[in-house]
Amino acid sequence: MFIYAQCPVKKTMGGKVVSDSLIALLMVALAFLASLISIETAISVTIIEILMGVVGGNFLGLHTTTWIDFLAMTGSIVLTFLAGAEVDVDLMKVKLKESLLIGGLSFLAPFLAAIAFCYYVAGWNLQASAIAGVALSTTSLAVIYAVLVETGLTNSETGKILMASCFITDLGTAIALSVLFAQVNWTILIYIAVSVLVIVLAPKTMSRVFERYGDRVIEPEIKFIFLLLFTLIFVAEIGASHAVLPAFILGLMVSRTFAQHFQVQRRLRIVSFAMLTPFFFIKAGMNVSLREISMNMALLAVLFFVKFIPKFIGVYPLARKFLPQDAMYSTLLMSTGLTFGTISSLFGLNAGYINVTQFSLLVTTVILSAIVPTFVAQRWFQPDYLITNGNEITSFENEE
Amino acid sequence: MFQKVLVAVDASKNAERACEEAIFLGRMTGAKITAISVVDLPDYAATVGEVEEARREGQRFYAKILNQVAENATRQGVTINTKVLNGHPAETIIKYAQQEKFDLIIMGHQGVSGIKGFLMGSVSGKVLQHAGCSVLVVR
Repeated sequence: MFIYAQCPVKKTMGGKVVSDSLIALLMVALAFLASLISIETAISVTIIEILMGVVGGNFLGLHTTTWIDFLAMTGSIVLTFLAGAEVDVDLMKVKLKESLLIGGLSFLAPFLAAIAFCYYVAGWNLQASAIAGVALSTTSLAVIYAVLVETGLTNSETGKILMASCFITDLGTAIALSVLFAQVNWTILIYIAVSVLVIVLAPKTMSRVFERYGDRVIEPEIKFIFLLLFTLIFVAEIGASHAVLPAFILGLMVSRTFAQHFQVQRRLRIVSFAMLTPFFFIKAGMNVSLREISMNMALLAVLFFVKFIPKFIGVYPLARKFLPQDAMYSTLLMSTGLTFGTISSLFGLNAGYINVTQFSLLVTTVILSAIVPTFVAQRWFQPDYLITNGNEITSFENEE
Repeated sequence: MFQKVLVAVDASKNAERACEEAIFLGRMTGAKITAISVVDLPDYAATVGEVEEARREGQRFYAKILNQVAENATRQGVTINTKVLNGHPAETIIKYAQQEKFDLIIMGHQGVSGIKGFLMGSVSGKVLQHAGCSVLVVR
């Protein structure tokens, strides 16, 4: 079955009539199947959705449409916002020195190494190399967090420094993505001015909106968050830029308010995970060409080490200084990446900075970087921990 | 004779039978019984919130089950300690048993996720292979 659709109107292609509703049906079927597989295997739906996209793009002939692009773009901005909102600002302040050093080098070392390798060795142009630098510099806080929860290390020195360092790495990635690809003209001033205004006013405004209009079935809080995010997306479009950095900083600025409203967080995640992020991850998978990967396996392997080795060189000495007992474990976890790497790669593909081959290699490298270092860290370098991560159950308590 | 018994509980029928065996053992021998459930957190998540929500949902889900287990045990004159842990089920059960020095682990033959067991090996199989104490697998 060959399905091809580039615009949201019915058209005939090779005698077959395709429509947006058929594309939507297939996308949602893939997303639903991904959810089932995720639950049964306890692997995050993120990776499964990307794999479903790979299946859709490589075997079902599924192609993206303008509305899928829009939903995917919105999904990526919401993910970026959530990444910022999940920052523990107080933790960052307490561990500022360690996190700036470890997180800073964790970003900078692979960023520069990837650009240099892709430009001078792989023969990519400067923009494509810059995308590679951004995509391969990331560290995944969510991957690290799950590991820390399992080992009960979230409140340990190791856990606190790792999480704080991740925030800094993510910030570096967001800044690099925005600054390197900014188109310098007068429209960017509008983008900057409005973004700054939104970010500065958001914390107090959000608190007031939540207090006065919160807890209603019509979800004004969720609509307000989307109002802020679409404002940033719109002005980024005017400024020919991307809303990643302002969305991340917005999340950071409202993280305290967000933390106080667990239900709002939950409902935003429900909306996003149900109808936005699946389109983002499936679209990412759809653009991965298995054929291109199979023809570039050596380069794929090298790109993985281009990410890992500079991270190791940058992070390990500092980990030995600040976390001597868990240095290798910490270094391996800081080498993981997933969401931001995928966001950066898809940004590069959408903007035409990288082609399908480069995109396929970068996304596959990012996924490998989520899996391999985590596996090695847990298998061979896991700290000796006591299981204290659980709850004694004496009676059922409603946590909310 | 077994002094400290650990029973691993999920939502399966086999786990229910395992609990019955543990309660019976507790009644007959006076062994100290602890029932645990393990929340399997998602690997390679996109957001911290996803991990946190999975943890909370798992805690609530298993808390209900363990409360029922404890009530059932109390009706039969046996006191059971209950705990919900986070991690990969097999590893966590093995490690907890070693850490707390249990001398017997009781668990169901097959848990709720047949697909995961098929793809990645069953939890009971891994515990049988790697546990440092006796293991009773109940069908």
